[in-house]
Amino acid sequence: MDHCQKLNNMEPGGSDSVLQHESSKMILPGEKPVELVDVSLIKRTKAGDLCAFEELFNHFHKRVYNIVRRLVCNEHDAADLTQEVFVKVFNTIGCLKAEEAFFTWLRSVAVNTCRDYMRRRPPRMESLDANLQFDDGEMAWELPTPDAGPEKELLDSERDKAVRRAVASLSDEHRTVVVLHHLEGMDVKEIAKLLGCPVGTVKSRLARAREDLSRKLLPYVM
Amino acid sequence: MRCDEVKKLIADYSVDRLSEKVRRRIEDHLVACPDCAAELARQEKAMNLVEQMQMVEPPAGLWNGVYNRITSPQRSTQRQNWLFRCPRWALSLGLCMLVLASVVFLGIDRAGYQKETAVPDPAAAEYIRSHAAASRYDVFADHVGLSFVAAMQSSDEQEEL
Ligand SMILES: [Zn+2]
Repeated sequence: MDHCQKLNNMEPGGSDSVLQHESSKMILPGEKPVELVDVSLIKRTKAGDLCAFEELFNHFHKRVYNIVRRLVCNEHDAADLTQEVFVKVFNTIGCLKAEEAFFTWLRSVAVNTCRDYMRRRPPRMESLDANLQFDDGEMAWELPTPDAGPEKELLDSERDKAVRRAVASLSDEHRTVVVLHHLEGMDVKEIAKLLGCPVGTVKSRLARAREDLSRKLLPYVM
Repeated sequence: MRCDEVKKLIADYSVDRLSEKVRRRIEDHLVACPDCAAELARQEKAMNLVEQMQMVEPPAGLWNGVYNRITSPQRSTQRQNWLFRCPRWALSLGLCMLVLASVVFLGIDRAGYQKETAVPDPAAAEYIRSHAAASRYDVFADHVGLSFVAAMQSSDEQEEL
């Protein structure tokens, strides 16, 4: 089956290193790594058990929603696309052979769903885009949880908005590699495999995005 | 290396995109130049800020949407019916082929009908033959149509004989 082959090709060769790398980057102390999941849930979902799938959904949906939202920079579409990802996952989970790599596979489905969406949507006007995203409240994704007084809260919130605005203003290609590398903790080889492009292209996009972001965030990095 | 050259390459240096030789030269420069070292630090800090972005809570009700879509009647259709697994372009292509095939078959059928009823005209046959010969090297000529008509004419003539 073609689509099964395609799905299984997205799995990494060695998932252990991926999990370690991610858990060191993404997981707060005391928090259970979201990537690790009971394999029996996956087996039960394969057999059509909706309760097991609901458990998988509850375990992963926040992470998937955040990946999608960071990639597409649109709150409403992020919700729709997150649902689309889980529907696809349920319909194709039978194709997943390496059950321990479930999260890696789920993430690749999420990234590919977002890329399809980004290819379909009309080209964005770069100069206006960041402001539009910002004005409709989109980029105020969440307020940080400050541990000091109201001034710090305000500063953190301003800086946080500026960071989100800067990331949103990147081109789709640049933002995708930034999200995958700097927020998802994927290494360049994994990203290249997932996006189907050479490692050099991933590095080049990361470098250009890095210059762009440091320029846009200049007041916060001096 | 000059500062402007180094600054252009700092991002590529950070993502390990440079040859060993250039990387060494940049490292030597960074040790000696506080200005370029500060540029590297600014880029690092910007990326640290990006990495500190917090996750947000998804909206409520996402599961209901997923549940409804995977339990609705369309789902079984989507999972079982091969037609829905085909990409849209494949379906369109299939449809075009079908239309084309029916046009061709109808055409042949009508040609056959005309063959039975039409009286062979030697003048017309001669005209078609000369037209086909003249159009042989014309890239825009309908070669398929001409050969088809010429073949029909010759079979008519054979029938006459
Ligand atoms: Zn310098």
